Amino acid sequence: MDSPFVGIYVKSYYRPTFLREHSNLIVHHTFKPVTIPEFHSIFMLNVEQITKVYQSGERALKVLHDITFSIPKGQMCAIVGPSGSGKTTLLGLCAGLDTPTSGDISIDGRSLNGLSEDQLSALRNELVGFVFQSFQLIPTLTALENVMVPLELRGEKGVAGRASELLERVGLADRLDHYPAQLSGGEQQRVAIARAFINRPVLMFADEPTGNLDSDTSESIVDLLFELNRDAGTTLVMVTHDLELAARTHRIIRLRSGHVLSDEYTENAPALQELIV
Amino acid sequence: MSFILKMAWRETRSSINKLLLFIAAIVMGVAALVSITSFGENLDKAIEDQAKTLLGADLVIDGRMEFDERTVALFDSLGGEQAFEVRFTSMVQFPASGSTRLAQIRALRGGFPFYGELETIPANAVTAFRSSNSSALVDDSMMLQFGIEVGDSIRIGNVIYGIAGRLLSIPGESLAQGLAGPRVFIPESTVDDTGLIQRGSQLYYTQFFRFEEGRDVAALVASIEGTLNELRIDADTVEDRKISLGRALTNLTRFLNLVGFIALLLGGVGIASAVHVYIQRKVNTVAVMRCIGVSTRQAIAIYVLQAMSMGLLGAGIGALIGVGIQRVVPIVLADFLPVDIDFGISWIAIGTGFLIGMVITALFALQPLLEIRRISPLLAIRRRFESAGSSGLPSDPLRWAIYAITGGGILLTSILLTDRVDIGLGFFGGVVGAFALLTLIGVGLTKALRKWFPRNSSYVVRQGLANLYRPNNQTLAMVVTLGFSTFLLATLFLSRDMLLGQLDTGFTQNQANFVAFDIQSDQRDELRTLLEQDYELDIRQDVPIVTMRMTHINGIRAEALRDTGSVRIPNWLYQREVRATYRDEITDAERISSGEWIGYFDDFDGLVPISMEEGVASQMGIELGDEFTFNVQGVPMQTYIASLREVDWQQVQPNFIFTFPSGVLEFAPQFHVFVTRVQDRETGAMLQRDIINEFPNISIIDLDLVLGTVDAILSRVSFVIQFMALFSIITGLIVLTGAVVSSRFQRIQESVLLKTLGAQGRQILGIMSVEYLVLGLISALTGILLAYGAAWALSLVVFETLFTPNWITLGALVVSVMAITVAIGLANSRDIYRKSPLEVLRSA
Repeated sequence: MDSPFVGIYVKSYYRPTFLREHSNLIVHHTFKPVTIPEFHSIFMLNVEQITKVYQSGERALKVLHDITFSIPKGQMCAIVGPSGSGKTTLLGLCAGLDTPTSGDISIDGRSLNGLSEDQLSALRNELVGFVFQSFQLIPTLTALENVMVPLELRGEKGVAGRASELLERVGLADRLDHYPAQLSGGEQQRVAIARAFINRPVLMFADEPTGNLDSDTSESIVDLLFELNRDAGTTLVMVTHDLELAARTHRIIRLRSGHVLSDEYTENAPALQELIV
Repeated sequence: MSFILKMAWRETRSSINKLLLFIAAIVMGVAALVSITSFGENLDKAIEDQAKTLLGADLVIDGRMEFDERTVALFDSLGGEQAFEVRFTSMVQFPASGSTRLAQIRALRGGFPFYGELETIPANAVTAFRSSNSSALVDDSMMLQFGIEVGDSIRIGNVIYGIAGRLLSIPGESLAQGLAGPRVFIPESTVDDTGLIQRGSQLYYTQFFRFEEGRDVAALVASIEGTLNELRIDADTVEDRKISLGRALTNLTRFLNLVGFIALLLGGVGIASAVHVYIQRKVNTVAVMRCIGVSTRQAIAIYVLQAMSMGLLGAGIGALIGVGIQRVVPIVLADFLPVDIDFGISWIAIGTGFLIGMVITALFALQPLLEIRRISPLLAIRRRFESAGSSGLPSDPLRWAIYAITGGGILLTSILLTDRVDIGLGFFGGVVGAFALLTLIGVGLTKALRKWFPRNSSYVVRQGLANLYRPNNQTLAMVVTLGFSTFLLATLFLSRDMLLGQLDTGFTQNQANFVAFDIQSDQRDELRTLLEQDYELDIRQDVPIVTMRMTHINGIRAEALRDTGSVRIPNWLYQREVRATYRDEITDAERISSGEWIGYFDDFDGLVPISMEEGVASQMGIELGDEFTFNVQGVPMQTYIASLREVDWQQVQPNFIFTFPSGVLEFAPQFHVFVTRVQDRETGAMLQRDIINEFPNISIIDLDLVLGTVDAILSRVSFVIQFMALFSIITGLIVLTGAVVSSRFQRIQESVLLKTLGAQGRQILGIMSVEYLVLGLISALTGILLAYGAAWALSLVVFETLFTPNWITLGALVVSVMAITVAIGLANSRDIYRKSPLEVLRSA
């Protein structure tokens, strides 16, 4: 075997259904040697000892302290924390929208370190989808065109059909030619979700996806997001304030003042899960 | 369709209204360039087509001395049909009203013009003139001035002619040429009867030739060139005239093109500012696109493509408007054109204007578009974030490269438009300097106003002022464009006022303002009596004038020097008799710059020490000690340059290139000039009439004449400049409109917020009024400060006079600029203060 081994420390656990009050029950720890390709095939997002320091004049402000975690493929993970805890910064770094001061991030085994702005853009177009709090549709494009953009960027032809299908799936079949200003908040977010899934991303980032919506609309949007996510087998990283929403994911990482306060699995997590610690 | 193309189109279609204003900023500049270049092309074509009428003949030979037998024999040998003209200036009088005027008399024999026509009212007046020995054709402008009709009479010297017609145009001459000396045609056979050909008269003799078709005039001239030079006469062919006229008109179109280019550059400033604001609005869109995976290069390409498309459209519309305006240009310039211009579409002009418009749009739009590079995708999830070590301007080589390309582009265009590297460079320097100064003054004034604005003024006033500093404000761009327009107009007004004011001081200050010349020695005492006793005037100068001909320099014959070109002898010195004076002292208008002034000399064996004007001396390369030989009415006189003089030519008095010391020329044949001062215009007019009645040969220049002439020329010139300034002004107003419209949404939000807080509609109107009023004030002051500097420099260098700005004109200009700014500002915001908060919140 040519590939070198890396040692990973795996905790395997069962979440017995009868012990609902205990969210996680660790059964045993094992040290499991795997090859690098094997390692990469396990995790979609790997965050290793990252810090982020902002320079504000003479003053250096450290907003993230030595954060490490990994998210396996197909997992839905919520990052929660109070305002100013660093969660949006962390999301930005994970998605390659900004670069960490130190540490390394890799998506689907591809390190973001040292990539140029344009290489990062290409990587996002290929692997990543985004759902934003304020929808962030391009106001000059119709709903259909907004959804088509990621595929058009790849130079794909005949993408209108697929975009229409997706819009139909999110319940906007009759809104294809409407501009964002002509749509309600919930409808805009549906368009945004359709746009996020159109390029079949392997990793989806959602930033407070229900933050600008009323509770009824939020409910349906989250259902839609999770449903599409499950169907596509996409890994989801979601930043939210909403603990109820976070509880619907598999895993919750809590941040406070730039530190990971806790990293726990919810009852929605699959029955058997292996995870690096 | 590629992704970039699609996105550029999608971005354009929804903001087409705002982009239309962006387009409009360059429209006027391109229109100006296309119309002027087209006009230039049509002018060239007209000159080509009407070449022969420019000269009115195939060949014209002229000299400053009467044609002698040898010359006449030469003319006879040339053959063809010939005509002859002798030209001089003289007073004319209209007996009907008694009014007098200095005019250019042309005594004509033969069928000139052979090509083209003397245009007259009535049309058959030329036939009547040619068939009679007592008719004259008189310049229409002079007849209008004095209310003279066809059929009235005109007195020239001792002869009274009947006016056969009004002279409208002469082939190859523009109307403006008649302003300084209105033209009167008389039959050549009557010249002697006028008694005006006397000693000292400056006469110009011209022989016109028409040859049979196909004769090679250039070869003919080449074959007689040596003889012409020897006879000190000049030949002018149709080709020569085309070249000299072409050169003069190229200067005109070059100047007009540069003024048009300024309008385009102002549009460029407007574009840069508009694109900057546009991109600020697009930050979110770009950030989202970047999140989705659009690369920086693609994002920039989308907006560059959009800007270029707008530039394409703007330049296209500008070119179309330019073709339309082109019809107006010949009307504006009618007074200065010696040919009739036909309207024709010039594709070269359209192409040039279009291309320059595109280049300027690209260059000015590119700089703000570079800001796209700095839009982080992070902005999609977070409105503001602290940048971890943003790259500052000095370390941004691309930005500096764009600046360099922009500068180079403007420089290249300047050179292309002027066809001259030196003028292009000078213009470029001037534009950069003016823009830098405008920016500096604009920023300075804005800051000063902010700093020293009364803090305890009402809220409405403070808020209005604060609006000028709102984020993404376009205050500076507006100040630069409006300021530049104001600068052009203010400089024009100040220069005009200064020039006329300077001349007018002749009446208000105690300077000489009345000059009578061509006074023969036997008329001197009588005229002196008339002036001193009848009019009680003080004759300030009685200047003797001796005519002579320069024959040698440093012992070498002038003809030989001219052939070798070792000394550059100007035509007037070579062909004409020189008018010199003699006196003991220098006048108030003179200063010895080198050598020694010798006021008296009576050693007839030695070289006579004379003084020469330093400007002409330096042009000719003459130095102190150089020797000149003059033929003084048949007597050779050897002289040397003992001193060089600086002469103030602007004073109303006779000035000379050569002055002799007393003691040498007293007994030479001579005539005189009297210089005096009349108290008022009425006395001047009366005196003129009396002099003409008694001494018809004496010509008079009075200040009224000079003022009238300068005013007439200035009015026509400033009309042209105002027409060209209009392009800049319209561009300035478009930029202002664009800035107001593009900040509209922000204004609506602000006013809605204020209304929610309880502000009244009229308070919001007040805030906006204050904002535009202050903007207009800063722009106007910026322009006027710059114009003040320019006019001051002009007063120092060009007019050499005390700079006394007319504050009333400037004040009126400031008020006008402010009024226009407020009017445009409020007109574009008229519904903002009326909007209900709810309506706006819903639409937002």
